[in-house]
Amino acid sequence: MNLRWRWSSGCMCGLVVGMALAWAMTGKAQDVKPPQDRDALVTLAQLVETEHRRVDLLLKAGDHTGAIRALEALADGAWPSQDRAGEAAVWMRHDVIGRLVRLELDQVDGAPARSDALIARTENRLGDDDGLIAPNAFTARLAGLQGELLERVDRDADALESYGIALEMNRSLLDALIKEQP
Amino acid sequence: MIVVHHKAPAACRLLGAWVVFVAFIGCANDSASDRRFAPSDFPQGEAAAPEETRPDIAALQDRLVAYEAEMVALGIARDAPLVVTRRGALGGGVDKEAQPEAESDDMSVNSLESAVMEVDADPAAEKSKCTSICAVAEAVCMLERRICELAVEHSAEDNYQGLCTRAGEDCERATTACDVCGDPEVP
Repeated sequence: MNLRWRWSSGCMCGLVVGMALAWAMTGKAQDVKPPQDRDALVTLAQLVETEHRRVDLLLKAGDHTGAIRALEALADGAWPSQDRAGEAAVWMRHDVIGRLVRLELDQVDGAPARSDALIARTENRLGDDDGLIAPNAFTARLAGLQGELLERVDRDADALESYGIALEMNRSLLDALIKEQP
Repeated sequence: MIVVHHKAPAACRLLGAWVVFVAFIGCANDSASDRRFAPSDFPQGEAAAPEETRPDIAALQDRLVAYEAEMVALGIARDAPLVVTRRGALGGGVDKEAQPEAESDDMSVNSLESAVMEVDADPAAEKSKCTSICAVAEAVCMLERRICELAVEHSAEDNYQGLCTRAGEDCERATTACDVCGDPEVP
């Protein structure tokens, strides 16, 4: 179990770092909004990565409540604006909330005790980015998790809608990868 | 598949960085990512709360220093060579006019193989692209399972059946792309 946590947390940290590096090192974003302040983005990525590690340790110690609180504090804390840190900042927040929702969902078979609050949180954050979000793995994952949450509270029609968004984003990502030219 | 061992976190961090980097470049260069998603696309609820806008940079300084040292140890220093990601990543993007929109949806298995194998000569870049494709395939097939389970409960509703069918097609296409990527026998 510990190895699984270490593996998954390692991947998550890598995803965050990779995203920040892609922005900071290439500046090649054409379809997504670039950061005005790359230092802010890199610092944010480092903060998120460090907090993910702290959550890893809390989970390793069996403190799920502490891990959830840490993720909530991170998600609700100071966050650079999209104008300042680019669209990747929004993606990172979606990553954090995605992990939070996953943890909550994994605690119970049915609806989490705070389902309404979690659903509101995902709805709020999926409305980030001035209303337009380029396809990315983090938002796609969060949309899928939102669907899972909605399904557990018997809002099947809404769940289907969320799953549809997640599917469409993943389709776009796959198209981009397959058509990638050498 | 992935072998989990004691070095896994460091290896996975690197792997994750590659995955995101390649996926990012793919998104940045391809017309398929022109589609953007508005809040109205998602189930709506309360309005978003106003954002704070300034991280406390000074408070993060200590973490930053320690973190940068670790990045260097992991081989992802600030001046790491960009060539490790993919050939042409910093050059010209895809010629969008030469890429008919219908191609993506109607891609045959053969053309899919060609497209997937049309990756860099650099084996590391090829592997990272395959890792990205397989990660997307896993996500899509997970969605397919959930959507089709819902469709069973709503067997009389066309929208559930339609999305289940489409998810199945996406899962098959993504899985094929992943298999082609990982098959050493494919020329």
